[in-house]
Amino acid sequence: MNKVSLNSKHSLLEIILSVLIFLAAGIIMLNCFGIARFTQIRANDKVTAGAIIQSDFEIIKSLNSTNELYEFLNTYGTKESGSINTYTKYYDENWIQGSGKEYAVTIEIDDENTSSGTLININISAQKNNPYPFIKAGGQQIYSIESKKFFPSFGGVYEDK
Amino acid sequence: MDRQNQFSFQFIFIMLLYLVIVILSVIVISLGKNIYDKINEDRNKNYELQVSLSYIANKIRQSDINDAVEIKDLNGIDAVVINEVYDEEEYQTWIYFYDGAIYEMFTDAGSTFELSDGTRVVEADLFKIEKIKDNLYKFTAVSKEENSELYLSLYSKAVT
Repeated sequence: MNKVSLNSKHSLLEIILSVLIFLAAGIIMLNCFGIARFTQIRANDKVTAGAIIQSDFEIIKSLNSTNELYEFLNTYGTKESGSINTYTKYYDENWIQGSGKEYAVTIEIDDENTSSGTLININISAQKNNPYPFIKAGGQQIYSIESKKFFPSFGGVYEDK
Repeated sequence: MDRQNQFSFQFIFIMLLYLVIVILSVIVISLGKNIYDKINEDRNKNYELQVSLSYIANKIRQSDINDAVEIKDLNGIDAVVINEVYDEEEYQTWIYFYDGAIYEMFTDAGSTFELSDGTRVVEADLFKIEKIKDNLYKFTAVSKEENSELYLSLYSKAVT
């Protein structure tokens, strides 16, 4: 009959140490998986937010007057008036507008009236309302673009319209 | 007898610890696999949705001069046509949706071609072009039941 020879005292200690090391490694690995997953989600959010913000800028670029601009801005759900007008629309976790408040896309509009027309300073940004788990750097802002558009009072390419 | 019992208890305990290691390994590997699969799936979906729209946007923006960009009907589907001149010869780049993908066809201006002649650029379930107003177009790409939209404002006022 075969006999099992085992130095149990040393072996037990070594195995407990191995389990502890394995647990530590496992926790680090799971943390890495978590970071990878949420970094991917954040990258996807950045792409989606980028498409939404760029589309809004393209729409603003195509507008011919400040009246058209404010008509477009009124399609945003929430408005806060002040020295800088703020318009916000909300999206759920699947980026569907109006069915949740997981993400917010905000337009900040600052008018500068001059004798020749109106210069509009525009800042569009997308934020996530709840922070990303596992990721500390970067904060909750996902994407932001700043630009200006000038609507001339007279003349310009849209005068004849 | 006691010594034998103690030995067998320690042996079982050691085996249990090994079992814990094995179970934890399986959990970690399975979690890793699931996360990797999910990341890959998201990446592919994102790629198909965004690459198609970015491709169209870049193609149009780089050619956005007067009369260069047109939206034309091609066998019942809307197609983006980009007119270019090389060495005083006129060429056209046609971008259209056909057979589950976005195709590009570079050809002499005015020549005819089959939809299948083009180069398959990126897979998509659907690709749609809508005219919102004179200089504003909406492009929609659908891939794996998810859709993505992009508005493009043309300086050149596309001819339709």
